[in-house]
Amino acid sequence: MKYKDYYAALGVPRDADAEAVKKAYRKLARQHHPDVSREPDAEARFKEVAEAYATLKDPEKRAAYDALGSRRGGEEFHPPPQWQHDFGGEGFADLDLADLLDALARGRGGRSRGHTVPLRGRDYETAVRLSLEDAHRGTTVHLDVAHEDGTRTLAVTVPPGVTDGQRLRLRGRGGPGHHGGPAGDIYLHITLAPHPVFRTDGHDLLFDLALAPWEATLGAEVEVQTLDGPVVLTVPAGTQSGRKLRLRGRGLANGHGGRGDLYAIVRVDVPASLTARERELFEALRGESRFDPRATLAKEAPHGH
Amino acid sequence: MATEATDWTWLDPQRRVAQPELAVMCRLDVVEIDELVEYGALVPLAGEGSEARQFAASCVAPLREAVRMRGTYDLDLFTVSLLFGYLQRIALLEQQLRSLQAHLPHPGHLPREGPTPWREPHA
Repeated sequence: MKYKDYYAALGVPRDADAEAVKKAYRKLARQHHPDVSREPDAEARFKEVAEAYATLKDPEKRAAYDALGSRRGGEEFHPPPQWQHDFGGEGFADLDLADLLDALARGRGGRSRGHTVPLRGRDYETAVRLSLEDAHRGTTVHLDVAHEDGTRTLAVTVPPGVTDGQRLRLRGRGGPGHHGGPAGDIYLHITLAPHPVFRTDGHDLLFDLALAPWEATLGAEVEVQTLDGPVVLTVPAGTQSGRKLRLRGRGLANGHGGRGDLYAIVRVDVPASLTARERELFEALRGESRFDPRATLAKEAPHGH
Repeated sequence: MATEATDWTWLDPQRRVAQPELAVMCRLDVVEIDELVEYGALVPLAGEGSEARQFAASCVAPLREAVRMRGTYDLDLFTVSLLFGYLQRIALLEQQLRSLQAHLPHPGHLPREGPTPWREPHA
C-alpha cells in the first residue's frame, strides 16, 4: 500500500489543530475546486486535498493515520497487523489508504459484523441543450453517465413543454443503491440552443418583424413564420416601432395541453438608398405632413438647456 | 433504458414537494429542513394543516447546490441557508435577464453606430 502524506497535501504541520486543518482545507478547496480553477490538474488536486481533509478532520481517523508514523508520500508500507484484525481479516492488496481509513472509522471491522447501513445511490446531474423544436414537441436524449461499471448511456424521454433553464428530476434512474438502499435520481438541466428566428421568454416566443415605413403607417398583411408554418399577420395602421403584435397560442407547448404566445416585435426599417422617384415622393410627404415625432420631447425639455 | 415523459418531476415554482421528499432530494435530514425554515431560508407553502409541509419545487436545484457546497467546503447549516438564499436570487436574476434579452431586438439587426455629424442649432 502506498503512503499518502495528508499533512503535506494540506500544507499544515503534523501538530496542527482542527481549526488550522479546516482553514487550510477551505483555502485549498477554494483554490483548486474545478468550478473555480482553470488549471488542468485542478480536479486531481481538489480530490487530493478533499481526501486529506476527510481523514484529518475526523479525530479517530486522524489518530489511526498518525499511528502510521511520518513517511514520505508514495512510500510503500504495510499497515499494522491490528488493522487487518479490525478490518475483518481481509487483505489490503487492492485497498487505497483512504478507503481503509474509512472502513476502520465505520466501526472497526463493521463489515465483518454485518452492520451495513442502506445507502442511497448516486444522483446523476447533467445538462442537455435542445433545439426549440425538440423542446416544443418533446424528444429523446442520450445521457452519458459515470457508472460503477464504466460509462453508461441512458436514453431518456424529455417531455414537451420544457423551457430554457428548466430543471427536471427522474426518480430512481440514477446510480444503484447499496445494502438495500434506493437508487439515486437523474437531475436534468435544460438549456435551449439559439434559434435563427425566435427567442424565448418562458413558453412565449418573440421575433423581430421588419416593416417598411408605409406598411407601419398604412397597415399591411405580412407573412410570418411560426413553429407550425407560415401565417398571415395583419399589421394595424399606425403601428409604432417596438410595438408587440401577439399571435395567441402560437408559442411553445407548455406541457399541459396549452401553448404560449408568439410576439412579433415591430421594427420600422427605412430604405438605405432611394430612386429618384422615391426621393421625390418622400420630399413631397415632408412638405405635406404635419407629423412631428419630437413634439412630445420638445414640450418636456427644460428651457435653457 | 427508455423512460416515459410522465416519469419526470418538474422542478418549477408551480409544483409542490413535501418536506420528507425534499429532504431525500437534497440529501438532508428532515430536522435540517426544519432548521432552514427556522432561519427563514426555506418558506413552506400554505396548505392543509394535517399534511407534511410543502415547498415550491423550484427550491430543489439551488438547495442541492448549496448542500453540495456544504460538503465541498465543510460549511455549517447556517452558512448553507445564506448560500441557498443567494443561489435562489442568482437563479431569479438569471431568469429575468433571459427574459429581458428575449425582448431586445436581435443584435444582428441593430444598425452600426459611429460618429454622427452635428452643429449648434442657431450657429
